[in-house]
Amino acid sequence: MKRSWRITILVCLLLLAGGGTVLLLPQVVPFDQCSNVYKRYADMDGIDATFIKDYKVNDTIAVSATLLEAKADSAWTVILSDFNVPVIPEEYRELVASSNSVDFWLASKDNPKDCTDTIISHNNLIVMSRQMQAICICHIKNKHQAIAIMNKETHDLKNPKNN
Amino acid sequence: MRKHIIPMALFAVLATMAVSCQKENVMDFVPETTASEVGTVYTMQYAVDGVLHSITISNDSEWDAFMLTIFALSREGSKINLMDENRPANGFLTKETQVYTSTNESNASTWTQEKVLGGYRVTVVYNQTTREYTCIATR
Repeated sequence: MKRSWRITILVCLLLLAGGGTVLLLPQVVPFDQCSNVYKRYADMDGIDATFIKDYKVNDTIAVSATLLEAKADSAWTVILSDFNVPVIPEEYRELVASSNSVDFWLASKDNPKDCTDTIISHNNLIVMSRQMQAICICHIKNKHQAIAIMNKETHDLKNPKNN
Repeated sequence: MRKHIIPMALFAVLATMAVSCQKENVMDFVPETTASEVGTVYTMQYAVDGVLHSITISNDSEWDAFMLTIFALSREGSKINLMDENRPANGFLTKETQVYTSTNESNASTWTQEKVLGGYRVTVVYNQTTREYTCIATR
């Protein structure tokens, strides 16, 4: 009788441990729950890919994001091409090159090369720093998240060390 | 035996529910990078000194003739930009540009948000010397 209860408790603990592992491990190691963007660029030479789960934009808003940082100019060229980044109009290129800047645009999940003007669930807000050669795909779910991110990044331009 | 099975089953259900609650939607965005093959019907846009043109190429000889034309224009000093409707090769020429400047961060941010939500790509530049925001919206 006592032995049966021990087996029961042991099995229950194993089930709990298994459930806890499945819950906690993806937050440390990005498995299938991370974005396909991360998986695509994770093994690419010259690009550091990071999947950030629940990045805190402010006290009330957190979003998941995929950060791509180019470690070489060739890799940055690939990113610019993949994301269809436009060239800056000629009259503003010197200003952009000499100052802190950040780019924003909305991209549809199905066709990210095209700008979209529709906030629907699981669209992406793209945030790009030309100076840091980094692009962040924010997996937003509503307009409020997009606005919060743009407010924060615009504010941070004043203090480049915080970027 | 029955007394042991029921608690075990209950814990199994709880563990399963805990796992299923963690499900996240997988972002299946994969940017395309494959280029169209030369020789198939290929529509391109190109600009000569800022003037946009469009051409459809359906065979290799048309492609050769087009490239000879481009090289000749380039030798004459014209500025050439090549792009296609599927994958711009070198960025795309923006057809519409709006610019907003302000020393007020809130105004600059609000203008930027309106443009981004309206389908523009916006570059926000902050000049540390003049403390001025320049917001460049393009599409």
